[in-house]
Amino acid sequence: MISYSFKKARPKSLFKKDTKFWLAFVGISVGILVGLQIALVIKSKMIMDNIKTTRIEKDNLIKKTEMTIEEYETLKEHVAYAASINNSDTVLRESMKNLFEIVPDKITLSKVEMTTTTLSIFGTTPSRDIFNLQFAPALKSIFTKSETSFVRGDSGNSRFISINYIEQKDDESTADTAVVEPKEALSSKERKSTGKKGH
Amino acid sequence: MKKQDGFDLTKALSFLLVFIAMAMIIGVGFLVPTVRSLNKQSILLEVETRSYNAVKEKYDEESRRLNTLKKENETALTAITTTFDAKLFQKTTQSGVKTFQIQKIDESTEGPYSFVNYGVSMTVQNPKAIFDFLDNIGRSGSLIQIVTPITISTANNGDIIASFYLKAITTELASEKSDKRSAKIGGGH
Repeated sequence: MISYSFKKARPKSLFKKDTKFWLAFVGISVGILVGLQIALVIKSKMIMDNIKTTRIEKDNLIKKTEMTIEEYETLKEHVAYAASINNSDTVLRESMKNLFEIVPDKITLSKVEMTTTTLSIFGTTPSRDIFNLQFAPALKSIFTKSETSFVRGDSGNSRFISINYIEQKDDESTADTAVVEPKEALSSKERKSTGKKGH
Repeated sequence: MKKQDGFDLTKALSFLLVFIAMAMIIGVGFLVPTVRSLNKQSILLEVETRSYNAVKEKYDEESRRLNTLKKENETALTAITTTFDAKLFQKTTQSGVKTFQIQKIDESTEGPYSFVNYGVSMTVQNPKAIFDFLDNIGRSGSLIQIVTPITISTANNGDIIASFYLKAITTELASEKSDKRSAKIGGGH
């Protein structure tokens, strides 16, 4: 092939060198800006997800707190109820023990009936006076009303029936037993003679 | 006249203009609103986190209070949730008791509590055995109320016959109910 030029033929690029530089500069800069925007959008989405998760967890925690409070209140009621039952049982047991303690040695009980407000005592006493002196004061000091009737027995002893009532206050709904306190009921002299259990 | 390989100012200014225009569009149109939104979201996240921490603190406090209550009243709570076994009770309460009979009378429910009433009849040789028996009721492991009337009488052979009622009280475990609901709600922190 015949050459008409002194210069050698060389491939010519589409853009000039400075054009390439500017295109690269603009392209890279725009790319960086777009990348920054994408990063910000991703970060924003992550924050939104985080907010959403925190809200859900907070709602769950609020529900769990409410349930815990509810459970606490229920258990507290159960504990109070159990304590009132145990207290009622203790009072009843103590009342029974105290009743047997205040019975003088000379008096023998044949039957005792205890309800929430009454105490019925059946038994025998050597004499009416012994009952009235040694047992009746203790009963009268405990109960609001005390009625006793006597029947003379064959062996010279008197059989007696003592019905004792106690007024139940409205506010003492849990204490459904008659409380017998021997310390208040007995004089020191009588206390000495309560060794024997009457039955 | 421009040179072949020299610096072309017009072209440079044109490209710079194009670059500034694109940067402005991207910056004002997208970047600035996104950054503003991001700031707002960050503040919101901080508020939510603070609120969550407050709720968590409250929950921890309530849990601690509940656990303390459970720990301090373990016996009472176990008793109130334990079903009364009359047969086992009959077997374990024989000391000092000559004869012992326990019979179920009826059962009822009131509020969260279930009640079973039993009639008890026993023969003992001295009143102490009755007191011992009544003292041991509390150790049966269940919540039992001694119900009046209590009748104590003397038999012809000198034995003492006592009859009274017992009320066995039970309730469903509150924690079981709570656990069921917790399972529905799902986990959390």
